[in-house]
Parts: sequence; C-alpha cells; structure tokens
Amino acid sequence: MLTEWVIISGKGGTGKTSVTAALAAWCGTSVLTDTDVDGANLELVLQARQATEQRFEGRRKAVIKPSLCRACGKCADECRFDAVHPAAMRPDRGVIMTIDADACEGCGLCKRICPADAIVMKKTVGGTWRESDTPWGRLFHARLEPGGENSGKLVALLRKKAREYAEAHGIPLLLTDGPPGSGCPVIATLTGAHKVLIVTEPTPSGRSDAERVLDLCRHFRRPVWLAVNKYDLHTGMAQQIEEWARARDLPIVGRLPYDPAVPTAIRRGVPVPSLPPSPWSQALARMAMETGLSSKNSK
Amino acid sequence: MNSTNDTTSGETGGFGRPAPWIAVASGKGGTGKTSVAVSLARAALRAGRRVQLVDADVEGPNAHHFLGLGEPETFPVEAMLPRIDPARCTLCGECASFCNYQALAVLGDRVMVFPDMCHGCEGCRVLCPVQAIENGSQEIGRIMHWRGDGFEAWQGRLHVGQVLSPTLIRELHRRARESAPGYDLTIVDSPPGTSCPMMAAVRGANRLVLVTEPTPFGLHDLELAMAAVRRMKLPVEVIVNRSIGDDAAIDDLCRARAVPVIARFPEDRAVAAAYAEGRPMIEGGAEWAKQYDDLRRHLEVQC
Repeated sequence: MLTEWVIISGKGGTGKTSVTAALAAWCGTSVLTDTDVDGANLELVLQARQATEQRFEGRRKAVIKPSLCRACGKCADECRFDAVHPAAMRPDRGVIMTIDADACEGCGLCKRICPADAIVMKKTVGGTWRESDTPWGRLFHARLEPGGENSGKLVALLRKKAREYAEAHGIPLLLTDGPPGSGCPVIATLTGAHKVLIVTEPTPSGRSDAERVLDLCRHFRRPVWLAVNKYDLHTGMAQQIEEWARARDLPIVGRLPYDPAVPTAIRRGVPVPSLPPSPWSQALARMAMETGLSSKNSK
Repeated sequence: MNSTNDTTSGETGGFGRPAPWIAVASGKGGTGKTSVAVSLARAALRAGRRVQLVDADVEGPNAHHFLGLGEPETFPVEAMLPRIDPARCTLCGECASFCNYQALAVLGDRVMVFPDMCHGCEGCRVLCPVQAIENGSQEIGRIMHWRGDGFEAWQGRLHVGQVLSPTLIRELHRRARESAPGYDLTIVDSPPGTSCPMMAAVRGANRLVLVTEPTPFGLHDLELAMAAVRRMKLPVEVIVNRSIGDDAAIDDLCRARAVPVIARFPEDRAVAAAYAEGRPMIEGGAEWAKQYDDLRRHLEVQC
C-alpha cells in the first residue's frame, strides 16, 4: 500500500523543502515529488541527476493579427481579465488592439466575438516536467514557464507520474514537497493525498497561514499533523501555536530548533541529515519516528 | 475610436508622471517581502510621505500583523458564475463546448456548472444562442481597508478553498488605483512564486523590487522571477536579505542581468525574533532605520 505524505505550510520559507529532503534522507527509499512548480527547489538539496525531461503544454492564449484588426474595441469591452488594450501602431493605421499575454487567461471569448476574425488562439509553453535520480529515490519535478499559469494541471500530472512509478516499483512511500499559499497548486497537491504535514514557524504570519491551510485540509478531510520549525525563535509565539494546535485538535509531531545547520545544508546542496548530527537533525529523526514515517528503519 | 496621431497609451494620465507604485515580490517565499514592504512604508511615513500599502498576497495575507491597525472596512469580492435558466436552455451544448476551463457540462437533461473550474470570463453567457445564461456570482474573498492619517492599507483575503487569486488581486488593485492619486507612494506586497498570482500583483507597478536570500534556493527563484517579469519592461531592483557576507552568486546574476542590488540586510536572529512579535525589520535598531531611510530616498528618485 502506497502512502503519500504531502508537506505544505501556507507561508513560504518555513522550511518545507528542508523537512521533505531530510525525511527522504532519513527514510531511505521513497518516491519524491516537488509540486512547487513555479519555484521548485527540492532538486537543489537532493543531488538530483536528471533522467528525462518532457514538455508540458500551456493553455492557448489569444493573439491579435495586426493586419486584420479594425480596432472596434469589442474584445476589450468583453475581456474580464483586462488583457486587451489599445496599442499605438503605424501612423497610417492609427490604434489597434493588443493582448497582454501575461494577463490573458485563454478563455477565447475575444476570438469568438471579433467581427474581423482577427484573433487566433496560440499555443503557449507551459513548462517542462522531469524525472531525476537522487541517492534517496526518484524525484518528479517540473519547471513552470516563468510568469505562466499555475493551473494545478502540472501538479496533478507530476503526482500521477510519481504514484505510477511508486506502484510499479513497489515503493510504499511518496513524499511530496508542496507549494506555498492556499490556491490552485495547493489544492491540486492535496487532492487524494493520504497524510498532510504542515510545517510552520512561531511567527504571526506562520501561524495565520498554517490556519488557512489547516482549514483547507479539513475541508478536503485530509488527516493532518503539525511541525513547528525554528521552534525556539520565540517561546511566547511557540506557546501560542501549541495552544492553537491543541484547540484545533491538531497533533504536533515535530519541534525543530532554529539551527544554522539548515541554511548550511541548503548551501551545500544536501539534506540536513547528511551533515554531522545537529539539534535539528535529531529533532527531525524524532519526528520521523513519531509520524511512523521511518518505522521500518528506526535505528 | 478612429483616433489620430495624438493618442497616447494612457500611462502618463493627464498630470505628467504617475505616482510611484512599487511592487515588492520574490520567487521564493519567506525571503522577507512583507517585512521589507512594511518597513519601507514606515520609513516613508516617518519622512512625512503619504503612503498606501497594498497586501496582495491573497492566499496568505500577513502585512496587517505588523501594522497594529484597528477594525477594517470589508468588502466582499465576487466572481461571476453562470446561472442557467432551465426553462430557456435547449441543451445545445454551446456553452460547454466553448468553455476552456471545463466548468460546464451537459449531463442528461441539464447543464451542470462546476464553480471550482470557472474563471468568470462570462463567455458562456455572451455566446448562449437562447440567452439562457445570466450572471450569478460566488464570493471568492474579501477586501479589507484601513484608513489613517496620510496612510491607507488594503488587503485581499481569498476564501479558503477558492482559487481565483488573480481575480481578487485585480479587484484589489482597481480599488487601490482609484485612491493612489492622493498618495506619494503605493507599495504592493506580492504573493511568492513566479506564476499567475505574482504576475497579477506586480502588474501595473512602475517599479519592482525583488527580495532574495543568498542561498541556492534564493538564487534559483530570483532567476525565475526575473524571467517572469521580463515582458513587463519594468525597472527591476534587488534586495538581498539575510546576507552572511557572501552574496557572490546573487551579485553575479544581477550583474549579468543588469539589475542593481539596492540594499543588503544581514542575517540577524534578533530581527527574526522581533518579526515573531510582529515587528518588521525597520524596528531592528538605528542602523536598520537608517538603511530603510536610504532605501526610501533611493526609491523616491524616478528611474
């Protein structure tokens, strides 16, 4: 039976990726997925060697053919994404309309209503997705085209590929390093996941964003645990998080200290357990036991 | 609109140059965007400027933790959602075949609407041959608004489970833009990442500050963020946060992209602990206050 653990945080920079990499190193063999597709960093601490790379097609977006546009402005009136604007053109033609590709969401309405048939829907590059080998298992990751739409489709694709790989190779554990926030890519990461670990930090932002993703997990009825990273940064705030977690019936499985070993590991491109033992790696090991993640190789 | 050659693209308005509208963003989360944005707003207020702060990180809005504000006014934000009139609908399927988001489907004797998929383009309503679709709506989030003396703060807050972050950010910007002429400076705290919510938050700015940290994560995501905004043709500048004295990799990237590094803030556990109490960087002591005043001066000069 495959178990997929998803690691999310709401707030960025709380230590999701360091925790995921360390759990992978601690557990021995797992399959790994990085669903933070617009800022994928797990590969940077797992000594990933890319095995395959494939293109991922993006949503088609509207483009105006300047030679056909009569500048009636109908497209601009109907666009709900504020993506169509007049642009100065050659003096003899006056103004024509132009579409801002960064704002266009590809609905295609402008194309349908253009009386001059001047609009086409063009393919866009969505990004690429990759499989890489790491000393701790196969990694499925991606690179969304910078500035592109993070629709959740790329996330769903990665998770599907990772599951298939895990099942085909009889690997019982899938670790997924999720994206920050609480929007599409997070929801796409949580869909169908078995267990969720929220990594937070004892700050007001850490707490309020953890609360948002907790609500999201409960909404999708996912079983969820909490780890507090940089626990000793502020005792009062850590205490508040303890109380909040108790009130929300959220078990705390990890209290990880503020430890320079973490940025050091990132700079060296390795998981924290690959460095000499540190308070952080010891706390992480206890957490791996507590969650049952490393029951098989609990040394 | 058969305009003659006196047409401008509109960005200068009628009164010369637009008021500074600075977006603070980063590829990686947790680099210190919010602390920078709030500190910069404080520095400008201390210098007697009128400042507007827009928290556009709608999936995790946090600037208010550092502002000590009272109760805000709140406004619901709705996105359009098609409502089908079954008495008129002929089940022709035109709406479902048009919808690029798979938000509509003809199932048996009715048209199903999937609210989580809908982007609110209204194309189905416009194109329905029998006018069987009207605009319904769903509340996707809220906008909070605080007004003080020479200071205004806005915040977008996406409802948990909703996905239309860019729609909420557009509405937030629309409101803030209306009040912008009354301010010397507007600062936008953007969501992390390099995809649609970040792009929507940065859009409309006339200057962009990217906050990064000198780790391989910070470097990697800074490079992505620079690539994401390249089409916007915005002046981009970089702040290196949590510097431990060796920022060579960031400096090399910035030099190669001709992007200036305008400030460096040191790694400082005391500042991190102050942040945990809701105090932004500018409260880190006299040295920090001075650095922020320098940064404020720098950003006031039109680039």
